[in-house]
Amino acid sequence: MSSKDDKREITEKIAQFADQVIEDGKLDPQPGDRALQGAQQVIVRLHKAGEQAVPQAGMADRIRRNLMHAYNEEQARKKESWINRLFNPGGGGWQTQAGRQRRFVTQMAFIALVILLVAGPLVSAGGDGLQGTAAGGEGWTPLLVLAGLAGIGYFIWRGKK
Amino acid sequence: MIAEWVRQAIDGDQQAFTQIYEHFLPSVHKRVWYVIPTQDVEDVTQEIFIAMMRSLHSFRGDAKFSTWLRVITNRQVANYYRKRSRADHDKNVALEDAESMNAPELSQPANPVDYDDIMLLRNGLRNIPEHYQEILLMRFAEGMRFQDIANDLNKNLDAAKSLFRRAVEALRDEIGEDPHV
Repeated sequence: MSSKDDKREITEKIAQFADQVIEDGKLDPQPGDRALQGAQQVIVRLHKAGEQAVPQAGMADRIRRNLMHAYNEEQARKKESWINRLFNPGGGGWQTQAGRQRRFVTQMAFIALVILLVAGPLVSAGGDGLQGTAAGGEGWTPLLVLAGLAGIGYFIWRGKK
Repeated sequence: MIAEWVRQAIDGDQQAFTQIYEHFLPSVHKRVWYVIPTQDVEDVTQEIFIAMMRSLHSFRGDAKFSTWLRVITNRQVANYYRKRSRADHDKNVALEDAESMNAPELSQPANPVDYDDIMLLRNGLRNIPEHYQEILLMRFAEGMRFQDIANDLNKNLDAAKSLFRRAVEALRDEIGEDPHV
């Protein structure tokens, strides 16, 4: 028999032994050379380790409970409008520490975007505002007032929630 | 059946979602058990199902759901080890595992000998090439038959069995002879 045939034979024996162990629970090794014996040992050890994989008492229930909570939050979040999700302090999907941080960053980014959108036209209206002239100062003043009012308004609005 | 549950779960049917969870919990848990330290098995299992829930809408049915879930499982396991290594906990694995034996709520093997062997196997599985680990977990954790494994891996039956043999041999080289034989 060629070495290729040997290999095929041992491959088949190892696969058969795995089937026998996993499906029938028969752990008796088949006769064979050292390589086959070693492989059979590994198969038995893997199978025995797997038999210990019994979920802890209550584990399935705990995961199910947490999972259903997350699922319901996800469903609620899907139904909310994006603006609601962004600003509603108790909105779905923001309950975790990471979620709260994400919301804070998103809110700040949103406010910054609004300010930038407002700033463009206002700075242009102020003429040389960016060069620090008196006219520029006049250009930035309404912008700063507006940003301040927006910030105060937001925190008042949030406080009412 | 599973495709129907998935569709219903995406539409907000909690019952269908529960069925998906119940159906896949045993194989996911067992797969995690083989590669994650005992005290973290529950957390990682939960993370996998939460990740599954968040990605459910992206499942298009091109692959089998179990294959899709396996990708999520592997990603979460990789995340676990990435975080763990970032926190420089690797060197404490053995110590933490040993400590977890004293925690009454955790499931434990019947005796310390089994426990040592499980730790050895976990380390061995982590150290062999990914495709070897994969086929061993498909057979032992998920209970897939060789023909199903071959189909899943786009190989013929002989090639799947041959890969299995090489994986067993690689693991044997990694963990050595069974000291109890």
